[in-house]
Amino acid sequence: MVNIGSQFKIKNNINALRTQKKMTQQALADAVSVTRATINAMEKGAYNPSLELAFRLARFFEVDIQSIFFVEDSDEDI
Amino acid sequence: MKIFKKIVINFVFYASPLVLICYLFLGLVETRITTSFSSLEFWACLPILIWTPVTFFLTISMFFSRKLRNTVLARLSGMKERDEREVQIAGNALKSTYLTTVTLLLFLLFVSLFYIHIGKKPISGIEPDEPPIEIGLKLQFHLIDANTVITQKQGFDKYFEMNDLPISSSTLILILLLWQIFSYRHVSRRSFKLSETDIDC
Repeated sequence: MVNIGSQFKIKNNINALRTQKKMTQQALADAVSVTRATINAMEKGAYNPSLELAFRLARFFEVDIQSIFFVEDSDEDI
Repeated sequence: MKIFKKIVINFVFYASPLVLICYLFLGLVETRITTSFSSLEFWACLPILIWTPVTFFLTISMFFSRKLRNTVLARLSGMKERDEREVQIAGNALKSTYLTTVTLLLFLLFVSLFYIHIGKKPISGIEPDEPPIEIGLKLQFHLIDANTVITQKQGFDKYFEMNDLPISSSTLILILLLWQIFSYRHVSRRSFKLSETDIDC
């Protein structure tokens, strides 16, 4: 359960799923209609995608959204 | 029409350095109207004679065509909106540019509105209980530039005086334009840089 009072970071498994499919960032980017830089930013955790892109990724990898994106709780208070 | 616009845009962008060089050259030599095709001034004038009306045409066209406006200004400012992340970056950069421009405008308004003067009175003119330094502050606002002249007090040594903007209106417009472009480019480039490094294909 997410503690709203705490800082949390959204992480993802895009890199792992992409490696599993033996795809390049460019191929994945083309598949979900974004730029390669956006895939790179998401893999590095520098960008959180919109709900629409999250669904597109989930549909492409044929998994649930929760399997790709998950919240990492932090004990640090805001 | 599409090809024509493309040619016009490319001409304006790629010919601008040449036009700038021509302007600099003509600024160094005595400019005069000449009909001699062999003169260097004529050939220096030629790119300017073509570039200026084409640029004017493009600027006017940008008022009426949204697509053309987007194409030209996106190219000028380096705006990319190929996906949602780039749209977000563009939004952040525009917000930052807007806020810094408002700050700059406020500063310029302050400078143009106030007349500040700090001066030292001549020793002979000082009364026994009077301070030797005078500070003057005046609010001035003119709807129309009427070339107002503030009469300077005689016998004062001027320490500091600020009266209206010391730059021409064209310089001011150029500063604001360059500020907008460079501010946007700087903020968006900084955001893009984050994902452009550490490429993993």
